Amino acid sequence: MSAVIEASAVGKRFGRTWALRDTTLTVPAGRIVGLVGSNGAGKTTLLNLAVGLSRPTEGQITVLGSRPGHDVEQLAKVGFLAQDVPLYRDLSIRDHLQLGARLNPRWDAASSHARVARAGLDPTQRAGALSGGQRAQLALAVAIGKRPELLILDEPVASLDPLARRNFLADLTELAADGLSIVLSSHLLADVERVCDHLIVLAAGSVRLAGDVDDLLATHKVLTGARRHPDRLPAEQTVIQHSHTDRQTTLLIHTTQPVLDPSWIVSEVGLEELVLAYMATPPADDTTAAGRPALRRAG
Amino acid sequence: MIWLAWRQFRAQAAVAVAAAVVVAAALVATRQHVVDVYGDGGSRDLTGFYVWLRLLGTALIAVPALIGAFWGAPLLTREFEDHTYRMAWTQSVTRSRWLATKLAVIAVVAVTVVAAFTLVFTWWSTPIDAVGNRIGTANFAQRGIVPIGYALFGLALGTLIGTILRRTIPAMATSLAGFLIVRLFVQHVVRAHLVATEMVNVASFGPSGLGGWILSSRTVDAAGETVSKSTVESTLTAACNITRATEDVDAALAACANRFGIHDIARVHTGNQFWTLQFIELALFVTLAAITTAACIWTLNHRDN
Amino acid sequence: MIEFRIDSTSGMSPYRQLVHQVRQAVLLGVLREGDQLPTVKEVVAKVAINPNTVLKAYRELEFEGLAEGRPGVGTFVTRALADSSFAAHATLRKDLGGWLIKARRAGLDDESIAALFESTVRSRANEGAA
Repeated sequence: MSAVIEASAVGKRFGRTWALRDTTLTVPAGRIVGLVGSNGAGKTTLLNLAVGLSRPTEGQITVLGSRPGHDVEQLAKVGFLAQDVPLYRDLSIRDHLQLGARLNPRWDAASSHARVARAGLDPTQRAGALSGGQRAQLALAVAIGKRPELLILDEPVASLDPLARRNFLADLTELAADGLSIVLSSHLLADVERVCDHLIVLAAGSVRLAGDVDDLLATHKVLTGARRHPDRLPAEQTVIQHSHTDRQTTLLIHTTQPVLDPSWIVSEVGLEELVLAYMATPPADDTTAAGRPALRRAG
Repeated sequence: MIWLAWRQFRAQAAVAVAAAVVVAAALVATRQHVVDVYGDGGSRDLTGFYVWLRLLGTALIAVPALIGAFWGAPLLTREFEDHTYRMAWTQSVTRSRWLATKLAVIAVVAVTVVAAFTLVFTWWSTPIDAVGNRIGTANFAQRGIVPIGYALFGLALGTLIGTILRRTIPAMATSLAGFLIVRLFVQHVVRAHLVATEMVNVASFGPSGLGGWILSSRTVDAAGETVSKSTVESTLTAACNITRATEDVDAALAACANRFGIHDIARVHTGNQFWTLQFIELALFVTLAAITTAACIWTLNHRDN
Repeated sequence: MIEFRIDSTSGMSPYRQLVHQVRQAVLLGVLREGDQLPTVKEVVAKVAINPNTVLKAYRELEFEGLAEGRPGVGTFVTRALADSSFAAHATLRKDLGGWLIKARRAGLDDESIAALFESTVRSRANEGAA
């Protein structure tokens, strides 16, 4: 499957701080991709680069095969929902849909109006008078109405109440079922676990982990057993995180082979545990993805 | 895109047009009175309400600066402050086209309102200008076509400053200040040099009757030698017996100077250079507006977001 | 038509839950042979999970012979579980009942029974993989 986003050694500097450094990624099409990391990790920076609101200080990024934000064709294929859901306060819902219709060549007027009606919105209302959930629905209608191939959302549900959040996520999954590729940043792991099938973990401006969720969960295990040194493991098993008590050792490992040593109790790892372990792990010198992360003490 | 530009601007446009219509109507209604006052036998002295009206017309001077501050600066600063640029610039329109269209729509309204208003005010002022001077004074900025150039430049400058500063209040203040600096610089330093001057003989005392703009002058005697005006004045006063008791001192001095062949040689822009100067200054400001707009678009495309 | 629900607190992954719920429905007779399963789009619109999860579950059901996908039409239940396997299950259930009595007599509580069961299942699975 082709890639929707390809980044090659991308870095972005603001003043003297690097918000993103040496980032290399290939985001596959046809997925709901979760971009995970704490605040300040570089998620918004990366997404802004992907939609052409900023340009990289170093490296290259291509989205759907071309440079983001620079020609009309490319802009028409990518829908964006920015953090804090900006809308024109004094423009009505109908005005916002007109905006979409006038500014995009392949606008689907019928389905946008249907979407707005289904969300229970009154088209004459001003955007400034809407609730958080309603704003998110309107912004989604504007982003989707242009029939994009890729939808990028920056923390779209962070400030929504649980019901609005559930409805919004259901709308996203429905769109994905129709073939839309979605990249969604979030710091709510429960949502990511539910909805995403591809994961990118960012911490302190670098990619710590990237891959299909099924692969990641299949290739990581938790080993519990009597206390021992973590180096005493076969070569193809890499320790991501280790912790010890006086009697017990617990290891989170990356492995492509089954663990045969009977002195270990082997358990599956949950997505949250995995993400947290990689967020805590500093990247090794020469890698930016799940390759050979450094040994690290847990906690 | 034109739809969006108009939709976001229409309230401000309505306010401006309404205000302009009200003031223009007042001017049209009162014009006859001005003709009477400044015509033959009139007092040449506007009183009461008419003074206010004239001042209001003079406020035309402030309009281009206000256009820059209220229409130009907020164009970008509001998008930055509300974060709506994140929506606007991810539609299928390049940033350049987005800004150019918004500026064009505002410019059309600005030019129309300013041009129409200046036309009415110039017409209203013709009796006043007939006995006065519209080229050499601050009046020049409120007549003819030059305010169009000011408006375009004010708009472009406000927008550029808004793009750079990104916050509404600082951008409005800075664009007001910036516009005034440029405008006054052109008025006091540049304007005189825009058209060639003429050397003309003028009476040394009393009104010049030229309707022109005197840049500099020197007093000469009948032989053509330069003399100091104050020396001449005391000499003439003595020679023609002009005292405090004399009825019209200026007229007496003028007649006396005439007898002795004393006159001024002045470097002037004559009144019939009015339109030439207007066109040149208009062209100057339109060029400045174009350069500023280009700078603005460049900044928009190259600045970080 | 079956309605799915995903329990995010259960230990089972969402796709296994879907498979399990279809099996249950067939066992109970809620789903009969020839019934259509909801489309992927219908499922995710209600339950907000990834569409690939639903696809995976439906593929698993196909693999087990429980369902069949007809391109352009939908996914349909192909056979009832009830008959052949239920009988086998009845025997297993009886054996299990007997074992449970023994375990309780040995002093094991519910948790110990569950732990014993899990570790035995896993060690058998590891043996199988080796």
